[in-house]
Amino acid sequence: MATIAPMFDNRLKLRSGSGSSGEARLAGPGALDGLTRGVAGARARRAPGLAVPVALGELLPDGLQRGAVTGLDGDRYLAAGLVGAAIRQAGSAALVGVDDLGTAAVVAAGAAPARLVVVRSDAPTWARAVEVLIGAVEVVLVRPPGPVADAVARRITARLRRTAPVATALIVAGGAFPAPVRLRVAAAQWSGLEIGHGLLEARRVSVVAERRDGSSRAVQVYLPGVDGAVVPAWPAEAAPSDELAARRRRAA
Amino acid sequence: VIAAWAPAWPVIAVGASLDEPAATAERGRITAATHVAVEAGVRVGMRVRDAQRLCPRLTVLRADPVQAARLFEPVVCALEQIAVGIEVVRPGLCVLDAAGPSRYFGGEQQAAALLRDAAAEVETDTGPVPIGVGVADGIAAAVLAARTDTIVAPGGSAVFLASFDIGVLAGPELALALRRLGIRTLGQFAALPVGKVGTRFGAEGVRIHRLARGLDARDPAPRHAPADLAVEHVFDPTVPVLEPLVFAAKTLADGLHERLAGLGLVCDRISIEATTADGRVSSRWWRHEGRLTGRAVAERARWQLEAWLTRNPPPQTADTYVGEVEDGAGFARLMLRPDGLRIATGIQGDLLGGEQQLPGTAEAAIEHLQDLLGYTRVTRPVITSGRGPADTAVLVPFGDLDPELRGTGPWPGRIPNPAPAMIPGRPVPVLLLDAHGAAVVVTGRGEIPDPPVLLVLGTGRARVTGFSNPWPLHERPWEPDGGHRTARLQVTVESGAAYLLGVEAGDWFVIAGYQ
Repeated sequence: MATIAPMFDNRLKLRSGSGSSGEARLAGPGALDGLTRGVAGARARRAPGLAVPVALGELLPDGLQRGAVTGLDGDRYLAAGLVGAAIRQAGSAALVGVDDLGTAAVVAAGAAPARLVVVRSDAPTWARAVEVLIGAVEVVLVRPPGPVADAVARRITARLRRTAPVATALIVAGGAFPAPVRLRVAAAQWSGLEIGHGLLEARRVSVVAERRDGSSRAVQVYLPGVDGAVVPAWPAEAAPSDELAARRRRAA
Repeated sequence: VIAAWAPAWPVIAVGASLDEPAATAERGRITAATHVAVEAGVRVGMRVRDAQRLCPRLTVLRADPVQAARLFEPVVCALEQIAVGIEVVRPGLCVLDAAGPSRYFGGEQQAAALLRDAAAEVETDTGPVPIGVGVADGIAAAVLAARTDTIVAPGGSAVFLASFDIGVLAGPELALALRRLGIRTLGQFAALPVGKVGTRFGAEGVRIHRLARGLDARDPAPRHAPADLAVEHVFDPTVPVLEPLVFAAKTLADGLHERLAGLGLVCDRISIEATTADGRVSSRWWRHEGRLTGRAVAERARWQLEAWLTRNPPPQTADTYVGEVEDGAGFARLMLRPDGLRIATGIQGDLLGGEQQLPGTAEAAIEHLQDLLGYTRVTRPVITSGRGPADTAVLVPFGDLDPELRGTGPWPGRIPNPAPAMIPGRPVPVLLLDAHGAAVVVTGRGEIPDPPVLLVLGTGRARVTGFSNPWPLHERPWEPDGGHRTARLQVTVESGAAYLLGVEAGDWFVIAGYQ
């Protein structure tokens, strides 16, 4: 927007001016200045992050930051949704030490199985495996097997910031790894299952993003939605499926 | 032209003895039979049922052309020691130009005898290979002469062929048509004017007519002997431990792959052969399909030799100290030999280009990780199908072949979508209790008489807020113990979590979690 606004202003000036061609030519260079300033500003900004699910766009407006850590809680659908959205179009992802994460859920969230690397690491090797993968794949998802020592966390963060052929976004699930933004799932509620009938359909959750400065934001999403992807949810009272469920419950 | 014919080769190749009535069959028709079976009236092209009626003791085996071709290779190599320019018409039959060998060995008789001896020296599982050698002007006549070990004088092919039945050269349809016209032998057919044959039976008829007159349709097309692509590493001094061998195997395999790529070839199988200084050999074939990496080949060498060392521990002599391995027990040679070479046609990628493939940087990191953690711990998921949570995606080590597909389903009793996100390595035992505090029972009809109220997972207790109708699953019902009979059930608990539970013989366990 910053690029376009000054240009627009100049055009307005041009139209509302006396209309002589000389003045219009004089106004020309000004418009160009605004344009170049806009480009320089865009360059100064950080490289664009990796795609995140549209429903979580409010929480991560810049996308999944390359060269930085994103913290998660232990929720596996959240991890699968972020990895799936980040490599839906291109790029590859490595899953380190998440042996009990269902690969089918990651694939349902949008990841192509051919671009996934599953690494079964253990307590002594996970940090080394993450260091090798940083700079080689777009996304690394890791669940540390225990508390992470400060020195290890610092080493990994430093490695992330280094220039490499591929700028990697690191997602750390669980634990207290230092991260500028941390996502967690609250108030999870599955729909579709009743007393003795139905099957699980979708899970309505509130995803909360907590930043280092103490600010936090929450959005309501279906995680996973009926097709396995992350779908935005309406406020509770307007959700048709929930209302249907409530009516069924009243009848029962 | 000399024809060398091993009678009933396809039958020998699948392991039958020549002295028994045996035959190979494909799609219900006999493709080859031993002479014992032929004497009983079994003919090639006959229906298996008819053959069994004629010869009740007949052993019918499944034809395996690939195996037959593979086993015929040593026979051809033995014949090539005698004469060059051999064309393999089909496994069991080869032809070569007669002029060279007969002049060199001083006559067709001598050349035929030498070829027969050479083939007899080849070692096979079923004893020496008897071959018939026939010499005649044309390929067709030579092949027929080989059946009876005949040498037909130059110019005598037409006379030699005249007495044979029309069916030996003509296909079944043409033979039937000719028999209906009263033409039963090749001699009668050859007597027909070629123009009329062409008008009535077309190009195929003219071709058979030419053969029947002793004229050749073509010359033998000699095969090119396969270049020896085996690679070898000699250890000096010998190595008693495995690690250097595995390392050498990787280097050898990388070199071999590079050489094959340079020739534009891939191999279907690869043989890993390790020899100790005292002459003991561990040899095995591995499936390759042109897709294994050097590291994957090295890993196979490790599997093979580890198992071999357990089965064949180094011999201990009286004067060696405990723990010290004698020099003779160390490995002295390692050889990799490719087999089933074919032209590399490439592997079809995805429709929209290489987007689906991992970039080079990722592959380098994967190689590094395989060194660091072990070959089998860096894997790629392959989406398959099945009933269990672990069946939907199989993890295959990088550089390895895709697993065999398990079929397309429909997999009754499979896990419905959405896919569970938490799949524990093994099912976790839980208690699912009803209102009376007793374990919930699922009846044989898949009904729950007392609905579940409480889920006890480890030390935690959670109230059940919803549950599905249980669905039964009966896997491998053909097995003697009745197979694997379980029921599955989805439950939600008040904390908002959901689980996929299974029950087998009254015990509940968590198969997967939705969280």
